[in-house]
Amino acid sequence: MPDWNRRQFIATGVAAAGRSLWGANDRIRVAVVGVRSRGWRHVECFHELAKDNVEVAALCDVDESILRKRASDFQALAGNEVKTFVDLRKLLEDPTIDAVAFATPNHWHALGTIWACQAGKDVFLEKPASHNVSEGRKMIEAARKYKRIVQHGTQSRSNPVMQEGMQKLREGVIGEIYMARGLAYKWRESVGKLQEEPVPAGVHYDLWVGPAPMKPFARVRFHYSWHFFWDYGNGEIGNQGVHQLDIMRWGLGLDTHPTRIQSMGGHFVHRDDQETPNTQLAAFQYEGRKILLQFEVRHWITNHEAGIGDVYSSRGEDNTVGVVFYGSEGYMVMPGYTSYYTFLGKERKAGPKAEWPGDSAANLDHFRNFIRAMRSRKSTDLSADIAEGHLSASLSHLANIAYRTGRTVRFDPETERFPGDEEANRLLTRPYRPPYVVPEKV
Amino acid sequence: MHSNRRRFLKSSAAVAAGALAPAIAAGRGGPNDRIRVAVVGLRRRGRDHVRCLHLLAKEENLEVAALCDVDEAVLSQQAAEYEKLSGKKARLLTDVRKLLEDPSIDAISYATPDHWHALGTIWACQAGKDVFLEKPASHNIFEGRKMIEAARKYRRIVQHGTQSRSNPAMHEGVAKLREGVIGEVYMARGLCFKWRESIGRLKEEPVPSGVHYDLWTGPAPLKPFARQRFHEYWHFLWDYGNGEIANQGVHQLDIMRWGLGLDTHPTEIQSMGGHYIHRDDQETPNTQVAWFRYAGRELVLQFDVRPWITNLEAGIGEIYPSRGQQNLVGVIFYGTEGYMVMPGYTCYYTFLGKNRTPGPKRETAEEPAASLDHFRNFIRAVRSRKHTDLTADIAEGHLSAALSHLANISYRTGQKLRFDPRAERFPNDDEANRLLRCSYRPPFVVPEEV
Repeated sequence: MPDWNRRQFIATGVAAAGRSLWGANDRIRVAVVGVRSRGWRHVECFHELAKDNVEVAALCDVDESILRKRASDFQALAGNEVKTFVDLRKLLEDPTIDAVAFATPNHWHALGTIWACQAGKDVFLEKPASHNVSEGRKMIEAARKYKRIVQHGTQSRSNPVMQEGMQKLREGVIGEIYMARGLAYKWRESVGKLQEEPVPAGVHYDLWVGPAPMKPFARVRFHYSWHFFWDYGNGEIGNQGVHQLDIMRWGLGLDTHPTRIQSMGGHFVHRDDQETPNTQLAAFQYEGRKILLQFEVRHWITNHEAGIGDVYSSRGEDNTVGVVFYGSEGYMVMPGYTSYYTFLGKERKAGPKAEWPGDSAANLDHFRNFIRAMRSRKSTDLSADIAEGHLSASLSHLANIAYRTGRTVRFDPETERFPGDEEANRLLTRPYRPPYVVPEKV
Repeated sequence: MHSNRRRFLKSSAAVAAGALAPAIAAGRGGPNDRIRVAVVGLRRRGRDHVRCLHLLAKEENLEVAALCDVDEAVLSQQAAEYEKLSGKKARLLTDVRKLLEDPSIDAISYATPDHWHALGTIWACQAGKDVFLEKPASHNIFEGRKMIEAARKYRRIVQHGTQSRSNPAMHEGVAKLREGVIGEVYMARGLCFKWRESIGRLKEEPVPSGVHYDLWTGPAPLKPFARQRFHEYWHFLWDYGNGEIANQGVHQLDIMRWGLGLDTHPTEIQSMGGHYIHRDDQETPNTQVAWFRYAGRELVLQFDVRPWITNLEAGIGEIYPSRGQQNLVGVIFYGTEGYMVMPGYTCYYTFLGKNRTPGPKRETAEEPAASLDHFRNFIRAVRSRKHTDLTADIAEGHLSAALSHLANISYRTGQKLRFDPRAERFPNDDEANRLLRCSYRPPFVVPEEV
């Protein structure tokens, strides 16, 4: 195993094998990696795109019980069998696979994507793009070097109503925008206390741990609750938050990093071993722009805000997820991923608005956009190219670095470093556990 | 102009106060003695002071005996209004120092710009007068400490104008918080969304006739007269005001501290924002977020200031009252079992459990009732001579005003700050420490030793 990384995917050979010409009639064969929850949505979406000549050709998961269940679910859904893999590396060796969709934990995003690019596969990647800032940069380098199409799973970007809302913002429907406020109020129960346990049968724990430090198995670190441990996840702001941070950037046309970042909060209410804050405030400012971005994470009983979650549907009954843009002529509310509402003037008169009649999770269009860019071979056809994903995920990382260092951090968008702040710079990357190393040179 | 040194400097003032204070305690402080109050700064909020005090005149046996303002036009107009209201003529003055020399005055009610609060209060204490002081207590943190020292040294009653502290619904709400109606409270969010037009560009002008501009400027650096520095707008220039977070904001910051039983300073402070929309000479941010944490407490305080078109929040301003139609002012407390909304100064509402089921609530009448109760509390403490009878003793005022000052220092230095609550200093941060006080223009100097 240790040699596998180097043997297969460094630079030349395999990548060249990657497909670079597609006819409209060529079937695109997709593999989905990490199929417990979000990954199964990927499978369903790609399956729905069958008429676009797309096929789910393989499933991969490090938990064999999940893999078995999803394979049989797939049989029921599609009426045919699907190849299954436990080890992503084996999957990447399969020359019949054109694209890989990743819904793994965050700590696998960069390595999976870079390996896939090196193996000549295109990638659909769940958010957040990266587990840390430096990974994002490497992913862009890999995508460009191997001429791969890498779509980031911020699906609002492909939703026609959101696109219309953004257009309205650019046209000045609420005047000059000076503030955006992102909300991720999602109900979160306690993750519980860490308890060492034997690795469950069928779980390939070494593979699951991948680039992270090897620690004893504990359910509290595993399925889903890995979001709330720094080794694997990035907290709520790097989970749900990335969608709204991305919308804020998009609405304000911020195609660079912020220069000054603050964050404060804590892990309140629950007395457990969660590491990431469940209550978090973050604020961002950008060199040369007269704007304030603010973000708030809550996890428990709260009022809704700006109509999000009560007047307008959001991500579930108990949740308030959205963005509010504030401008010189009014404000715009963007609940969830598929609607916008404007309120104009001192009297807050209802202005232009639109609601997407379809899936409020906005999934299908985003997968379709990916497939079309695969055929066109133009990363510029993507609505959420990895370069966008990198910037949006970085906002959550920068907030977390400010939170963890406990200070206002100043970031240089060019070098992607904190000048003169070694403690903060250390959090821009991580030590990788061989052979799961995100390479300096992709 | 020697009044300052002559009457109120350290030793002589102490003597003077020593002579005056017992006189008050023994004389006009008795239950049957009429308390004579002077109001300083009359244009807007001071006018409310006059009205509140007059409303309490009979019931509390007090009298508005003097009015003082550095703008003679304002003074004569308010004098006429007061005469119409009460049928009485008050003594009229432009210089607070002359007022403080009047031995017949028992208490001073200040509604001046912020930069005068500390000096006016300290002088009054030295002169043996009790003080009702508009918020924010101070113009900087150093001043707040000196005011407490003066109040204690001269045994004066100094009430801070955060009137929620005297409102029965707010008391009930805070008692409920303490009883755990929403469980363990881990966050409080203060909102101050008030409509603010542009203050315009600073334009040098001749001092309007009847305006004693040197007196108005007082402790601040003397700059050419400009309307954008004067009435109302001074809030938004650092020489005189502390921005919206200290203007309206200090009420909500005070409620947050009160609800959470925070009787010390925070240890970590962050603030960010800017002056947006308007292109003018305002110095303070009109858009500001500020966050606070306290050593040893598992909670976070957050504050949000907006000046312009915004959604309302948590029902404040739409379902529940607030400060006017365009404004949203209030506090929300978040706990393990629910949340509590406190719009404005006179009501509270609770929402319990995952489904936000309405729980205990109470509403009382809005202004002027809230202020009336607060003045009544002041007058009663003036009689009892116990500052512990005050609902908003200057020591509380200092802590609440300090929250706004700390937020502003973080905003101005562009850094997260760490504050030592005992020393009232930022360890190893000279830039921030410099903003803990200002330099004073003689003779308007807040003394090191009161």
